[in-house]
Amino acid sequence: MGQRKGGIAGLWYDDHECVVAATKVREAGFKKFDAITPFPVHGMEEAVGIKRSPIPYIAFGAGATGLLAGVGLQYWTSAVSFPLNVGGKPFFSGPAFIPVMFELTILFAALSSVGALFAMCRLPKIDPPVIDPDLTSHKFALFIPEDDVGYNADRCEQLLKSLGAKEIKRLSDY
Amino acid sequence: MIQPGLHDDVVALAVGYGRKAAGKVGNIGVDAYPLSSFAKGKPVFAGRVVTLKKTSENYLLVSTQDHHVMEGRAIVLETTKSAFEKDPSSGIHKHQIFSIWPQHQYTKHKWALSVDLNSCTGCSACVVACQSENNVPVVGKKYVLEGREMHWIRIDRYFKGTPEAPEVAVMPLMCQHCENAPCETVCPVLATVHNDEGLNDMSYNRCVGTRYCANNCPYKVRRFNWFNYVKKREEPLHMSYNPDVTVRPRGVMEKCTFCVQRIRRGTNIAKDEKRAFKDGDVKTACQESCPADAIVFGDLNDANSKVARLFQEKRTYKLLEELNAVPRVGYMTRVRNAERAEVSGHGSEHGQPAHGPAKDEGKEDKKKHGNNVQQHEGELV
Repeated sequence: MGQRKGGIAGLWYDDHECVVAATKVREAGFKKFDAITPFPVHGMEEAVGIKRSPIPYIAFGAGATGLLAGVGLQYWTSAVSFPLNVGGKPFFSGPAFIPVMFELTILFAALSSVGALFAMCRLPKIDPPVIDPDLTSHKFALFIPEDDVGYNADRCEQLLKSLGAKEIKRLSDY
Repeated sequence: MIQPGLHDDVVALAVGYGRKAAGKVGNIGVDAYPLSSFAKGKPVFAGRVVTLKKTSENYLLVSTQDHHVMEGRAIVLETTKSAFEKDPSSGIHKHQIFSIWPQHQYTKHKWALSVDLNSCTGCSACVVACQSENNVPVVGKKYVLEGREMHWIRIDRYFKGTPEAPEVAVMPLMCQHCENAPCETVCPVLATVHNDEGLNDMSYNRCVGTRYCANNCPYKVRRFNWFNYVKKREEPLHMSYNPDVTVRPRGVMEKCTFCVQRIRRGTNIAKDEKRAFKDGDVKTACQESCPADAIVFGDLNDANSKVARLFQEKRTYKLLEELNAVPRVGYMTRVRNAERAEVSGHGSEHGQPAHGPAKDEGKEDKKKHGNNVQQHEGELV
């Protein structure tokens, strides 16, 4: 699964506190830190500074490519490589090609979206590691990886504590 | 069967059935010759006085055609001599047709067939010729009853006029090789497509027997092979097959090919002799057998070919032209001597039954005669 990054995590028991803390951590200059919550927390994306995903653009581009691939495939097979005169209809018969064009659009867009998601999330690598099992139930964490800008374990611990973290976990050797 | 036009007191029998020395194939039906007499070295068929008796037995009458009225549709077009002299295209109702697609171009050959309904007498020689040329199975009475006849060409017969004075119109009908073939569009496996010479080809090996094509054919000329007639044929009889034509297995659709084997032979001979294909190099089996020369086959791309010239004639029309199937078979209007207000059956108005109901006459006859006539005649079928 590759080399896992170490770092430091602060845990909160209240989602709102965690959001406020995340905003402060971002303002402190950290870029690669992440929030781990048991459910989607409103305002967390803005607080952590997550920008809009480029996946819709990737999906659109891939869909357009699929559409053109559908047209090209059918044009080549039906009108160039193996033309068949079926009932006097033109070799390049638009209405008959619509289903394949549609299907290839969907196929390309869907597969590209999933592929792009995996690539952008660096899946199947799980990062950060399991910090606390309660993060899936009632705790909220902010994790600052060790390769973040201006990382210093002690300074980070101080920061998280000052922001009201109930627990601090250092994740260095695992 | 009681037919319009037959006198109420006349029974007609067909000779040629019930042969004793023709083996398995010929010994069908009842021999009608004992009813004929012999005078001055010639057989006399008419004039015999017969009495019909009711036997109370049932006998199945089978026919390949059940309906004999055109229902006001433009099928067999007719005109009168005087109308024809005024306008050679009289009797033909032209339709406004448009298509969203341009027609395909056929640059090499463009095979077509012309049928002159004026010359056709309905003798059925073409049917027999086609049957033997193309290895078409003879299904027998049992399967004709089930509507499983296999003729690639058939003669449609229509009755028109009043029940008192009916007229008969016949029309040989084979695959029309439509340029916009409705059968091809519905084939899910592309077993029937056009070739570059405009023939509506059947790939027997590709056919899976969905029979969609036959359902979508407006001319009803496609035949489905329900049985392995090939395998059933006894040992010496298999030698009677035409070796140039494939035999079709069970579960496969088949139809008129415009005698594609003859087309190939004709074009190949022309190629071997290093000359251009000329009109008359290919004659279809039905054309060769037609004693009235009503059927003409040829290449439409050759402007001087007989069929191309016949297609230019004003008398030529396409069957069910309004469907825009663009048939490659042209029919020529039948010109009658008789003067009548309307003979074509397809004048200005659509869907108007212009002719007397021939079916009704049959019913009247049955009432007059009881069942005797039907039963007696039925034995010969």
